[in-house]
Amino acid sequence: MSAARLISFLPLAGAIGFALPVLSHPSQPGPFIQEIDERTRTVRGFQLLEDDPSRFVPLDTEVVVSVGAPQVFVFVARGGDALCGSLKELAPDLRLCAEELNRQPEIQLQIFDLIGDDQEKRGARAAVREAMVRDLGPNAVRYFLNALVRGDLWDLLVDSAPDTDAANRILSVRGRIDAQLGPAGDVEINLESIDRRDLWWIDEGKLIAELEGRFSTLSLPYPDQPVGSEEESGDFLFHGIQAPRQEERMVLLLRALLAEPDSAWVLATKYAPRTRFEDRALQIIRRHLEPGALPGASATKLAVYCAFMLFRDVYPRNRGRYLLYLARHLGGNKEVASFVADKLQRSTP
Amino acid sequence: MPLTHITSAIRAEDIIRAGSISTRMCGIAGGPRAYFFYGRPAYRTEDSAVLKLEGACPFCFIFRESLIARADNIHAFDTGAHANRLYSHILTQDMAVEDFSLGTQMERPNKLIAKVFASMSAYFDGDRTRVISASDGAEAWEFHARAYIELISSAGRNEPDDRVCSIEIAIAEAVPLNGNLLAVVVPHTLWSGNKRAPWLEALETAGASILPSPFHGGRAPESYHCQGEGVVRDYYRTALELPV
Repeated sequence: MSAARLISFLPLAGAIGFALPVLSHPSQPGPFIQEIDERTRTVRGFQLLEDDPSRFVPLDTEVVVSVGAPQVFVFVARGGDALCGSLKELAPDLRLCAEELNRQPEIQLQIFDLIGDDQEKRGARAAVREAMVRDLGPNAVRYFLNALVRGDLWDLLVDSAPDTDAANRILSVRGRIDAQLGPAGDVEINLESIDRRDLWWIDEGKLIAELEGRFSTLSLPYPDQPVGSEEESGDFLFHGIQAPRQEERMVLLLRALLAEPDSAWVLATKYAPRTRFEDRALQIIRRHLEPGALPGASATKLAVYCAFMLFRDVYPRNRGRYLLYLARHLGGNKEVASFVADKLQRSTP
Repeated sequence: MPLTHITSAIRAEDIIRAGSISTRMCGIAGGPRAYFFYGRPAYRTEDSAVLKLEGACPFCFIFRESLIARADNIHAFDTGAHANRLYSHILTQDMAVEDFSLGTQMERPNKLIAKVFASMSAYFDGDRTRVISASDGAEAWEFHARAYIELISSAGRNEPDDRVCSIEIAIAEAVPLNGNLLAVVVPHTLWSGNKRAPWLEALETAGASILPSPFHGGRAPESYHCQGEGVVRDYYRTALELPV
Protein backbone atom coordinates (compact mmCIF):
# COMPACT_ATOMS: atom_id res chain seq x y z
CA MET A 1 0.00 0.00 0.00
CA SER A 2 1.62 3.23 -1.11
CA ALA A 3 -1.17 5.68 -0.27
CA ALA A 4 -4.22 5.98 1.96
CA ARG A 5 -7.03 8.45 2.45
CA LEU A 6 -7.56 10.49 5.59
CA ILE A 7 -10.99 9.47 6.93
CA SER A 8 -11.07 10.44 10.58
CA PHE A 9 -9.01 11.41 13.59
CA LEU A 10 -8.51 10.26 17.13
CA PRO A 11 -8.62 13.13 19.65
CA LEU A 12 -5.60 13.15 21.91
CA ALA A 13 -4.99 15.08 25.08
CA GLY A 14 -7.76 17.66 24.96
CA ALA A 15 -10.51 19.19 22.88
CA ILE A 16 -8.17 21.67 21.15
CA GLY A 17 -4.82 20.65 19.72
CA PHE A 18 -3.20 18.05 17.53
CA ALA A 19 -5.05 14.80 16.95
CA LEU A 20 -4.03 11.48 15.44
CA PRO A 21 -4.92 11.20 11.73
CA VAL A 22 -6.69 7.92 10.90
CA LEU A 23 -6.43 6.55 7.36
CA SER A 24 -8.07 3.96 5.17
CA HIS A 25 -7.69 2.37 1.74
CA PRO A 26 -10.40 0.92 -0.52
CA SER A 27 -8.75 -2.50 -0.62
CA GLN A 28 -7.57 -2.47 3.00
CA PRO A 29 -9.91 -0.50 5.22
CA GLY A 30 -7.53 -0.51 8.17
CA PRO A 31 -7.74 1.80 10.09
CA PHE A 32 -4.13 2.89 9.65
CA ILE A 33 -1.84 5.56 10.99
CA GLN A 34 1.23 7.03 9.35
CA GLU A 35 4.62 5.56 10.11
CA ILE A 36 6.98 8.52 10.14
CA ASP A 37 10.63 8.85 9.24
CA GLU A 38 11.75 10.97 12.16
CA ARG A 39 14.64 12.45 10.27
CA THR A 40 12.79 13.70 7.21
CA ARG A 41 9.27 13.99 8.67
CA THR A 42 7.99 12.09 5.66
CA VAL A 43 5.69 9.07 5.52
CA ARG A 44 7.62 5.80 5.59
CA GLY A 45 4.61 3.49 5.52
CA PHE A 46 1.37 2.70 7.31
CA GLN A 47 0.60 0.73 10.44
CA LEU A 48 -2.62 -0.79 11.62
CA LEU A 49 -4.21 1.15 14.46
CA GLU A 50 -5.75 -1.06 17.08
CA ASP A 51 -8.13 1.16 18.90
CA ASP A 52 -11.80 1.50 19.60
CA PRO A 53 -13.33 2.84 16.33
CA SER A 54 -16.16 4.45 18.27
CA ARG A 55 -13.67 7.05 19.44
CA PHE A 56 -12.74 8.10 15.88
CA VAL A 57 -14.17 11.40 14.70
CA PRO A 58 -15.08 11.21 10.98
CA LEU A 59 -13.66 13.76 8.55
CA ASP A 60 -15.06 14.95 5.26
CA THR A 61 -11.86 15.53 3.31
CA GLU A 62 -10.07 14.51 0.14
CA VAL A 63 -6.60 14.44 1.72
CA VAL A 64 -4.53 11.49 0.49
CA VAL A 65 -1.37 10.46 2.32
CA SER A 66 1.42 8.92 0.22
CA VAL A 67 4.62 7.11 1.11
CA GLY A 68 7.55 9.51 0.71
CA ALA A 69 5.32 12.58 1.02
CA PRO A 70 5.33 14.96 4.00
CA GLN A 71 3.54 13.79 7.15
CA VAL A 72 -0.11 14.85 7.38
CA PHE A 73 -1.43 16.47 10.56
CA VAL A 74 -4.86 17.07 12.02
CA PHE A 75 -5.34 20.03 14.33
CA VAL A 76 -8.62 20.58 16.15
CA ALA A 77 -9.15 24.33 16.42
CA ARG A 78 -11.37 26.29 18.78
CA GLY A 79 -14.98 25.54 17.86
CA GLY A 80 -14.14 22.00 16.84
CA ASP A 81 -13.05 22.63 13.23
CA ALA A 82 -10.42 20.09 12.14
CA LEU A 83 -7.57 21.44 9.99
CA CYS A 84 -5.91 18.76 7.85
CA GLY A 85 -2.78 18.76 5.72
CA SER A 86 0.99 18.93 5.71
CA LEU A 87 2.74 21.42 7.94
CA LYS A 88 3.49 23.63 4.95
CA GLU A 89 -0.20 23.69 4.05
CA LEU A 90 -1.36 24.22 7.62
CA ALA A 91 1.23 26.77 8.77
CA PRO A 92 -0.79 29.98 8.05
CA ASP A 93 -3.91 28.60 9.76
CA LEU A 94 -1.90 27.21 12.68
CA ARG A 95 -0.34 30.64 13.25
CA LEU A 96 -3.83 32.17 13.41
CA CYS A 97 -4.89 29.46 15.86
CA ALA A 98 -1.82 30.14 17.98
CA GLU A 99 -2.77 33.83 18.19
CA GLU A 100 -6.23 32.90 19.39
CA LEU A 101 -4.83 30.51 21.97
CA ASN A 102 -2.90 33.06 24.00
CA ARG A 103 -4.44 31.67 27.17
CA GLN A 104 -3.32 28.16 26.31
CA PRO A 105 0.45 28.41 26.00
CA GLU A 106 0.79 24.62 26.16
CA ILE A 107 -0.99 24.34 22.79
CA GLN A 108 0.94 27.29 21.35
CA LEU A 109 4.10 25.43 22.27
CA GLN A 110 2.92 22.36 20.33
CA ILE A 111 2.24 24.54 17.29
CA PHE A 112 5.49 26.47 17.33
CA ASP A 113 7.51 23.36 18.03
CA LEU A 114 6.46 22.26 14.55
CA ILE A 115 6.26 25.47 12.51
CA GLY A 116 7.85 28.23 14.58
CA ASP A 117 11.09 30.10 14.03
CA ASP A 118 13.59 30.42 16.89
CA GLN A 119 11.90 33.51 18.30
CA GLU A 120 8.43 31.97 18.22
CA LYS A 121 9.66 28.79 19.89
CA ARG A 122 11.45 30.78 22.58
CA GLY A 123 8.35 32.89 23.21
CA ALA A 124 6.09 29.84 23.46
CA ARG A 125 8.48 28.10 25.84
CA ALA A 126 8.75 31.22 28.00
CA ALA A 127 4.95 31.43 28.19
CA VAL A 128 4.63 27.78 29.27
CA ARG A 129 7.44 28.23 31.77
CA GLU A 130 5.77 31.31 33.24
CA ALA A 131 2.42 29.53 33.56
CA MET A 132 4.07 26.50 35.16
CA VAL A 133 6.06 28.59 37.64
CA ARG A 134 2.91 30.44 38.60
CA ASP A 135 0.59 27.47 38.93
CA LEU A 136 2.69 24.35 39.40
CA GLY A 137 5.80 25.43 41.29
CA PRO A 138 9.49 25.22 40.42
CA ASN A 139 10.00 21.46 40.59
CA ALA A 140 7.59 20.67 37.77
CA VAL A 141 9.23 23.41 35.70
CA ARG A 142 12.72 21.98 36.16
CA TYR A 143 11.63 18.53 35.02
CA PHE A 144 9.88 20.07 32.04
CA LEU A 145 12.74 22.37 31.03
CA ASN A 146 15.25 19.53 31.24
CA ALA A 147 13.01 17.47 28.99
CA LEU A 148 12.86 20.32 26.48
CA VAL A 149 16.65 20.74 26.47
CA ARG A 150 17.04 16.99 26.04
CA GLY A 151 14.62 16.95 23.10
CA ASP A 152 16.42 19.85 21.44
CA LEU A 153 19.75 18.10 21.85
CA TRP A 154 18.37 14.97 20.18
CA ASP A 155 16.97 17.07 17.32
CA LEU A 156 20.26 18.95 16.87
CA LEU A 157 22.18 15.70 16.70
CA VAL A 158 19.78 14.03 14.27
CA ASP A 159 19.60 17.14 12.07
CA SER A 160 23.38 17.41 11.86
CA ALA A 161 24.00 13.70 11.23
CA PRO A 162 25.91 13.26 7.97
CA ASP A 163 23.77 10.36 6.74
CA THR A 164 20.74 8.23 7.58
CA ASP A 165 22.78 5.53 9.29
CA ALA A 166 24.35 8.05 11.65
CA ALA A 167 20.95 9.59 12.39
CA ASN A 168 19.50 6.15 13.13
CA ARG A 169 22.39 5.35 15.46
CA ILE A 170 21.66 8.57 17.37
CA LEU A 171 17.95 7.77 17.54
CA SER A 172 18.65 4.26 18.83
CA VAL A 173 20.49 5.60 21.90
CA ARG A 174 18.74 8.91 22.45
CA GLY A 175 17.22 7.70 25.73
CA ARG A 176 20.75 7.72 27.10
CA ILE A 177 21.79 11.05 25.61
CA ASP A 178 21.15 13.47 28.41
CA ALA A 179 21.09 17.22 28.88
CA GLN A 180 20.47 19.26 32.00
CA LEU A 181 19.76 22.95 32.40
CA GLY A 182 21.49 24.58 35.35
CA PRO A 183 20.11 27.49 37.38
CA ALA A 184 22.38 30.02 35.67
CA GLY A 185 21.44 28.94 32.15
CA ASP A 186 24.39 26.58 31.84
CA VAL A 187 23.76 23.34 29.96
CA GLU A 188 25.52 20.06 30.65
CA ILE A 189 25.27 17.29 28.13
CA ASN A 190 26.15 13.61 28.29
CA LEU A 191 27.06 12.06 24.93
CA GLU A 192 28.76 9.00 26.40
CA SER A 193 26.37 6.55 24.73
CA ILE A 194 27.00 7.81 21.24
CA ASP A 195 28.70 5.37 18.89
CA ARG A 196 32.40 6.08 18.43
CA ARG A 197 31.84 6.21 14.68
CA ASP A 198 29.83 9.37 15.18
CA LEU A 199 32.16 11.33 17.42
CA TRP A 200 34.00 12.94 14.51
CA TRP A 201 31.04 14.99 13.35
CA ILE A 202 29.79 16.03 16.78
CA ASP A 203 31.08 19.31 18.21
CA GLU A 204 30.17 19.17 21.90
CA GLY A 205 31.09 22.81 22.54
CA LYS A 206 28.95 23.99 19.66
CA LEU A 207 25.98 21.95 20.86
CA ILE A 208 26.26 23.39 24.36
CA ALA A 209 26.56 26.93 23.00
CA GLU A 210 23.48 26.42 20.82
CA LEU A 211 21.43 25.01 23.70
CA GLU A 212 22.57 27.70 26.13
CA GLY A 213 21.56 30.28 23.54
CA ARG A 214 18.10 28.80 23.37
CA PHE A 215 17.55 28.24 27.08
CA SER A 216 19.61 30.82 28.98
CA THR A 217 16.62 33.06 29.58
CA LEU A 218 14.41 30.14 30.59
CA SER A 219 16.52 28.65 33.36
CA LEU A 220 15.22 28.74 36.88
CA PRO A 221 17.35 29.93 39.81
CA TYR A 222 17.10 27.72 42.87
CA PRO A 223 14.77 29.13 45.51
CA ASP A 224 16.19 31.69 47.93
CA GLN A 225 19.60 31.36 46.35
CA PRO A 226 20.21 34.16 43.88
CA VAL A 227 22.43 33.30 40.97
CA GLY A 228 25.77 34.99 41.32
CA SER A 229 27.60 33.74 44.38
CA GLU A 230 30.96 34.61 45.77
CA GLU A 231 32.13 37.37 43.46
CA GLU A 232 28.86 39.25 43.74
CA SER A 233 28.33 38.67 47.43
CA GLY A 234 31.84 39.82 48.24
CA ASP A 235 31.87 37.48 51.18
CA PHE A 236 35.50 36.73 52.13
CA LEU A 237 34.48 33.23 53.14
CA PHE A 238 34.04 32.20 49.55
CA HIS A 239 37.54 33.15 48.47
CA GLY A 240 38.79 29.79 49.70
CA ILE A 241 36.65 27.90 47.23
CA GLN A 242 37.11 29.92 44.09
CA ALA A 243 37.92 27.82 41.07
CA PRO A 244 36.81 27.86 37.46
CA ARG A 245 35.40 24.31 37.55
CA GLN A 246 32.34 23.33 39.56
CA GLU A 247 33.88 19.97 40.46
CA GLU A 248 36.90 21.66 42.01
CA ARG A 249 34.78 24.16 43.95
CA MET A 250 32.87 21.35 45.63
CA VAL A 251 36.06 19.46 46.50
CA LEU A 252 37.46 22.67 48.02
CA LEU A 253 34.31 23.03 50.05
CA LEU A 254 34.71 19.48 51.39
CA ARG A 255 38.34 20.19 52.22
CA ALA A 256 37.30 23.27 54.20
CA LEU A 257 34.69 21.22 56.03
CA LEU A 258 37.28 18.62 56.98
CA ALA A 259 39.76 21.25 58.19
CA GLU A 260 37.41 23.68 59.96
CA PRO A 261 33.95 22.14 60.25
CA ASP A 262 32.30 24.96 62.20
CA SER A 263 33.44 27.95 60.18
CA ALA A 264 33.18 26.11 56.88
CA TRP A 265 29.61 25.17 57.70
CA VAL A 266 28.66 28.85 57.45
CA LEU A 267 30.17 28.80 54.01
CA ALA A 268 28.30 25.64 53.06
CA THR A 269 24.97 27.11 54.11
CA LYS A 270 25.52 30.44 52.36
CA TYR A 271 27.07 29.22 49.17
CA ALA A 272 24.75 29.88 46.20
CA PRO A 273 24.95 27.06 43.67
CA ARG A 274 25.65 28.15 40.13
CA THR A 275 25.05 24.84 38.47
CA ARG A 276 22.87 21.82 38.84
CA PHE A 277 25.82 19.73 40.04
CA GLU A 278 26.63 22.28 42.74
CA ASP A 279 23.04 22.30 43.89
CA ARG A 280 23.01 18.51 44.20
CA ALA A 281 26.40 18.52 45.91
CA LEU A 282 25.25 21.11 48.44
CA GLN A 283 22.10 19.15 49.18
CA ILE A 284 24.21 16.09 49.99
CA ILE A 285 26.74 18.06 52.02
CA ARG A 286 24.12 19.99 53.99
CA ARG A 287 22.20 16.85 54.78
CA HIS A 288 25.17 14.92 56.07
CA LEU A 289 27.60 17.40 57.55
CA GLU A 290 25.80 19.62 60.02
CA PRO A 291 28.46 20.37 62.66
CA GLY A 292 27.88 19.05 66.14
CA ALA A 293 25.53 16.35 64.92
CA LEU A 294 28.28 13.77 65.09
CA PRO A 295 31.63 13.34 66.85
CA GLY A 296 34.69 14.53 64.94
CA ALA A 297 35.78 11.16 63.63
CA SER A 298 32.34 10.38 62.26
CA ALA A 299 32.11 13.83 60.68
CA THR A 300 35.37 13.14 58.85
CA LYS A 301 34.03 9.83 57.61
CA LEU A 302 30.89 11.54 56.43
CA ALA A 303 32.88 14.18 54.55
CA VAL A 304 34.75 11.39 52.78
CA TYR A 305 31.46 9.64 52.12
CA CYS A 306 30.14 12.86 50.55
CA ALA A 307 33.19 12.97 48.29
CA PHE A 308 32.29 9.46 47.11
CA MET A 309 28.62 10.35 46.71
CA LEU A 310 29.44 13.36 44.56
CA PHE A 311 31.32 11.14 42.12
CA ARG A 312 28.07 9.65 40.87
CA ASP A 313 26.60 13.10 40.23
CA VAL A 314 29.53 14.34 38.20
CA TYR A 315 28.89 14.07 34.49
CA PRO A 316 30.69 11.00 33.18
CA ARG A 317 33.02 13.00 30.98
CA ASN A 318 34.06 15.15 33.93
CA ARG A 319 34.73 12.30 36.32
CA GLY A 320 38.43 12.15 35.51
CA ARG A 321 38.68 15.83 36.33
CA TYR A 322 36.80 15.28 39.60
CA LEU A 323 39.21 12.51 40.57
CA LEU A 324 42.10 14.85 39.82
CA TYR A 325 40.68 17.47 42.19
CA LEU A 326 40.02 14.86 44.85
CA ALA A 327 43.62 13.70 44.59
CA ARG A 328 44.95 17.26 44.59
CA HIS A 329 42.94 18.63 47.51
CA LEU A 330 41.92 15.61 49.57
CA GLY A 331 44.56 13.08 48.58
CA GLY A 332 46.05 13.23 52.08
CA ASN A 333 43.06 11.33 53.36
CA LYS A 334 43.75 7.60 53.03
CA GLU A 335 40.21 6.65 52.13
CA VAL A 336 39.96 9.32 49.44
CA ALA A 337 43.34 8.28 48.02
CA SER A 338 42.19 4.67 47.94
CA PHE A 339 38.90 5.66 46.30
CA VAL A 340 40.72 7.62 43.58
CA ALA A 341 43.16 4.79 42.94
CA ASP A 342 40.32 2.29 42.69
CA LYS A 343 38.40 4.42 40.22
CA LEU A 344 41.48 5.01 38.09
CA GLN A 345 42.13 1.28 37.90
CA ARG A 346 38.59 0.66 36.72
CA SER A 347 38.61 3.32 34.03
CA THR A 348 39.18 2.30 30.47
CA PRO A 349 41.07 4.28 27.87
CA MET B 1 14.01 1.17 42.90
CA PRO B 2 10.39 2.24 42.54
CA LEU B 3 7.94 0.22 40.44
CA THR B 4 6.57 1.64 37.20
CA HIS B 5 3.40 1.09 35.24
CA ILE B 6 3.02 2.61 31.78
CA THR B 7 -0.28 2.93 30.05
CA SER B 8 -2.12 5.19 27.64
CA ALA B 9 -3.73 8.45 28.69
CA ILE B 10 -7.17 6.96 28.18
CA ARG B 11 -6.49 4.04 30.51
CA ALA B 12 -4.60 6.26 32.95
CA GLU B 13 -7.67 8.41 33.42
CA ASP B 14 -9.72 5.29 34.21
CA ILE B 15 -7.08 4.13 36.70
CA ILE B 16 -6.98 7.50 38.43
CA ARG B 17 -10.75 7.80 38.61
CA ALA B 18 -10.97 4.24 39.99
CA GLY B 19 -8.21 4.98 42.48
CA SER B 20 -6.34 1.76 41.78
CA ILE B 21 -4.59 -0.36 39.19
CA SER B 22 -6.90 -3.27 38.78
CA THR B 23 -5.91 -6.79 37.87
CA ARG B 24 -6.69 -8.33 34.51
CA MET B 25 -6.94 -11.99 33.66
CA CYS B 26 -3.53 -13.22 32.55
CA GLY B 27 -3.23 -16.43 30.58
CA ILE B 28 0.45 -16.81 31.43
CA ALA B 29 -0.02 -16.52 35.19
CA GLY B 30 -3.35 -18.36 35.07
CA GLY B 31 -5.21 -15.75 37.08
CA PRO B 32 -5.79 -12.05 37.57
CA ARG B 33 -2.62 -9.96 37.80
CA ALA B 34 -1.48 -6.33 37.73
CA TYR B 35 1.95 -5.86 36.16
CA PHE B 36 4.76 -3.46 36.96
CA PHE B 37 8.39 -3.05 36.03
CA TYR B 38 11.17 -2.69 38.53
CA GLY B 39 12.56 0.82 38.10
CA ARG B 40 12.53 0.98 34.34
CA PRO B 41 9.80 2.94 32.57
CA ALA B 42 9.68 0.29 29.86
CA TYR B 43 6.83 -0.31 27.51
CA ARG B 44 4.15 -2.60 28.78
CA THR B 45 2.18 -3.94 25.87
CA GLU B 46 -0.12 -6.88 25.56
CA ASP B 47 -0.31 -6.96 21.80
CA SER B 48 0.97 -4.57 19.19
CA ALA B 49 -0.11 -1.71 21.39
CA VAL B 50 3.10 0.20 20.77
CA LEU B 51 0.98 2.00 18.23
CA LYS B 52 -1.50 2.97 20.85
CA LEU B 53 1.17 4.91 22.62
CA GLU B 54 1.04 7.37 19.81
CA GLY B 55 -2.70 7.06 19.56
CA ALA B 56 -2.99 7.96 23.20
CA CYS B 57 0.11 9.45 24.72
CA PRO B 58 1.91 7.48 27.44
CA PHE B 59 1.51 7.95 31.17
CA CYS B 60 4.04 6.52 33.57
CA PHE B 61 2.95 5.79 37.14
CA ILE B 62 5.80 5.55 39.67
CA PHE B 63 5.07 3.53 42.80
CA ARG B 64 6.86 3.11 46.09
CA GLU B 65 9.44 0.33 46.16
CA SER B 66 7.71 -1.18 49.20
CA LEU B 67 4.93 -2.37 46.89
CA ILE B 68 7.21 -5.19 45.83
CA ALA B 69 6.42 -6.91 49.16
CA ARG B 70 3.03 -7.74 47.66
CA ALA B 71 4.50 -9.40 44.58
CA ASP B 72 2.97 -12.69 43.56
CA ASN B 73 5.91 -13.33 41.28
CA ILE B 74 8.98 -11.55 39.96
CA HIS B 75 10.48 -12.42 36.59
CA ALA B 76 13.79 -11.41 35.10
CA PHE B 77 12.08 -10.09 31.97
CA ASP B 78 8.70 -9.21 30.54
CA THR B 79 6.72 -12.45 30.44
CA GLY B 80 4.24 -11.11 27.90
CA ALA B 81 7.02 -10.64 25.36
CA HIS B 82 8.19 -14.17 26.16
CA ALA B 83 4.69 -15.51 25.49
CA ASN B 84 4.68 -13.65 22.17
CA ARG B 85 7.89 -15.52 21.28
CA LEU B 86 9.93 -12.33 21.07
CA TYR B 87 12.80 -14.13 22.81
CA SER B 88 12.69 -17.25 20.70
CA HIS B 89 15.93 -16.32 18.90
CA ILE B 90 17.78 -17.24 22.11
CA LEU B 91 15.45 -19.18 24.43
CA THR B 92 14.53 -22.69 23.36
CA GLN B 93 11.03 -24.11 23.61
CA ASP B 94 12.16 -26.23 26.55
CA MET B 95 12.87 -23.12 28.60
CA ALA B 96 9.61 -22.33 30.34
CA VAL B 97 8.86 -18.87 31.65
CA GLU B 98 8.72 -20.24 35.23
CA ASP B 99 12.41 -21.08 34.91
CA PHE B 100 13.15 -17.35 34.88
CA SER B 101 11.16 -16.54 37.99
CA LEU B 102 13.07 -14.75 40.73
CA GLY B 103 10.55 -15.79 43.37
CA THR B 104 9.08 -13.10 45.58
CA GLN B 105 11.97 -12.04 47.77
CA MET B 106 12.35 -8.26 47.70
CA GLU B 107 16.12 -8.23 47.38
CA ARG B 108 16.25 -10.49 44.31
CA PRO B 109 15.90 -7.72 41.68
CA ASN B 110 18.83 -5.76 43.11
CA LYS B 111 20.93 -8.91 43.31
CA LEU B 112 20.23 -9.64 39.67
CA ILE B 113 21.03 -6.05 38.67
CA ALA B 114 24.28 -6.06 40.65
CA LYS B 115 25.38 -9.32 39.09
CA VAL B 116 24.32 -8.78 35.50
CA PHE B 117 24.32 -5.02 34.88
CA ALA B 118 26.84 -4.02 37.57
CA SER B 119 25.07 -0.73 38.21
CA MET B 120 21.61 0.68 38.65
CA SER B 121 22.21 3.22 35.90
CA ALA B 122 23.18 0.53 33.38
CA TYR B 123 19.99 -1.37 34.27
CA PHE B 124 17.87 1.77 34.02
CA ASP B 125 19.36 2.56 30.62
CA GLY B 126 18.98 -1.03 29.45
CA ASP B 127 22.62 -0.66 28.43
CA ARG B 128 23.52 -3.99 26.89
CA THR B 129 27.15 -2.99 26.51
CA ARG B 130 27.52 -3.12 30.31
CA VAL B 131 26.02 -6.59 30.70
CA ILE B 132 28.39 -9.21 32.10
CA SER B 133 29.57 -11.76 29.54
CA ALA B 134 27.75 -15.09 29.59
CA SER B 135 30.97 -16.94 30.36
CA ASP B 136 31.77 -14.68 33.32
CA GLY B 137 28.21 -14.55 34.59
CA ALA B 138 27.31 -18.23 34.62
CA GLU B 139 28.87 -21.65 34.41
CA ALA B 140 28.39 -23.69 31.27
CA TRP B 141 25.96 -26.00 33.05
CA GLU B 142 23.80 -23.12 34.31
CA PHE B 143 21.72 -23.21 31.15
CA HIS B 144 19.01 -20.72 32.10
CA ALA B 145 21.38 -18.17 33.57
CA ARG B 146 23.52 -18.32 30.44
CA ALA B 147 20.51 -18.07 28.18
CA TYR B 148 19.24 -15.05 30.10
CA ILE B 149 22.55 -13.22 29.79
CA GLU B 150 22.79 -14.11 26.10
CA LEU B 151 19.25 -12.89 25.66
CA ILE B 152 19.70 -9.47 27.21
CA SER B 153 23.05 -9.00 25.48
CA SER B 154 21.67 -9.82 22.07
CA ALA B 155 20.44 -7.32 19.58
CA GLY B 156 16.72 -8.04 19.60
CA ARG B 157 14.93 -9.60 16.71
CA ASN B 158 11.39 -8.33 16.19
CA GLU B 159 11.63 -6.51 19.47
CA PRO B 160 9.49 -3.43 19.63
CA ASP B 161 11.28 -2.14 22.71
CA ASP B 162 13.58 -2.94 25.58
CA ARG B 163 11.30 -5.04 27.76
CA VAL B 164 13.77 -7.89 27.62
CA CYS B 165 15.92 -6.29 30.30
CA SER B 166 13.08 -5.05 32.49
CA ILE B 167 12.41 -6.99 35.67
CA GLU B 168 8.69 -7.67 35.90
CA ILE B 169 6.64 -7.63 39.09
CA ALA B 170 3.24 -9.35 39.11
CA ILE B 171 0.73 -8.60 41.84
CA ALA B 172 -2.40 -10.70 42.21
CA GLU B 173 -4.63 -7.99 43.66
CA ALA B 174 -5.66 -4.46 42.79
CA VAL B 175 -3.10 -1.84 43.80
CA PRO B 176 -4.55 1.33 45.33
CA LEU B 177 -2.90 4.57 44.25
CA ASN B 178 -3.41 6.13 47.64
CA GLY B 179 -0.40 5.40 49.80
CA ASN B 180 1.53 3.69 47.00
CA LEU B 181 1.85 6.25 44.21
CA LEU B 182 4.87 8.54 44.27
CA ALA B 183 4.55 10.36 40.97
CA VAL B 184 3.09 10.24 37.50
CA VAL B 185 4.67 11.47 34.26
CA VAL B 186 2.03 13.11 32.06
CA PRO B 187 1.88 15.00 28.74
CA HIS B 188 2.40 18.70 29.40
CA THR B 189 -0.86 19.52 27.66
CA LEU B 190 -2.68 18.02 30.64
CA TRP B 191 -0.65 19.73 33.34
CA SER B 192 0.44 23.18 32.39
CA GLY B 193 -0.40 26.43 34.13
CA ASN B 194 -4.09 26.87 34.74
CA LYS B 195 -5.04 24.12 32.28
CA ARG B 196 -4.91 21.05 34.45
CA ALA B 197 -6.87 17.85 34.21
CA PRO B 198 -9.10 17.76 37.31
CA TRP B 199 -8.47 14.07 37.85
CA LEU B 200 -4.74 14.81 38.07
CA GLU B 201 -5.36 17.55 40.61
CA ALA B 202 -6.93 14.92 42.87
CA LEU B 203 -3.73 12.89 42.65
CA GLU B 204 -1.60 15.89 43.55
CA THR B 205 -3.84 16.66 46.50
CA ALA B 206 -3.25 13.08 47.67
CA GLY B 207 0.49 13.73 47.67
CA ALA B 208 1.71 12.42 44.31
CA SER B 209 4.08 14.51 42.19
CA ILE B 210 2.80 15.36 38.72
CA LEU B 211 5.70 15.56 36.28
CA PRO B 212 4.96 17.16 32.90
CA SER B 213 6.75 15.79 29.85
CA PRO B 214 6.75 17.64 26.51
CA PHE B 215 4.09 16.30 24.19
CA HIS B 216 4.45 17.51 20.64
CA GLY B 217 2.25 16.56 17.75
CA GLY B 218 3.24 14.03 15.13
CA ARG B 219 6.27 12.47 16.78
CA ALA B 220 7.11 8.79 16.69
CA PRO B 221 6.05 6.75 19.76
CA GLU B 222 9.71 6.22 20.68
CA SER B 223 10.16 9.96 20.98
CA TYR B 224 7.43 10.26 23.62
CA HIS B 225 8.79 7.24 25.42
CA CYS B 226 12.34 8.60 25.54
CA GLN B 227 11.09 11.98 26.77
CA GLY B 228 9.14 10.28 29.55
CA GLU B 229 12.11 8.10 30.42
CA GLY B 230 14.27 11.20 30.80
CA VAL B 231 11.76 12.79 33.17
CA VAL B 232 11.63 9.58 35.23
CA ARG B 233 15.43 9.55 35.40
CA ASP B 234 15.48 13.18 36.59
CA TYR B 235 12.90 12.32 39.25
CA TYR B 236 14.90 9.33 40.48
CA ARG B 237 18.04 11.42 40.69
CA THR B 238 16.67 14.53 42.30
CA ALA B 239 13.70 13.42 44.39
CA LEU B 240 14.78 9.89 45.31
CA GLU B 241 18.56 10.29 45.01
CA LEU B 242 18.98 7.08 43.07
CA PRO B 243 22.24 6.67 41.13
CA VAL B 244 20.71 6.33 37.68
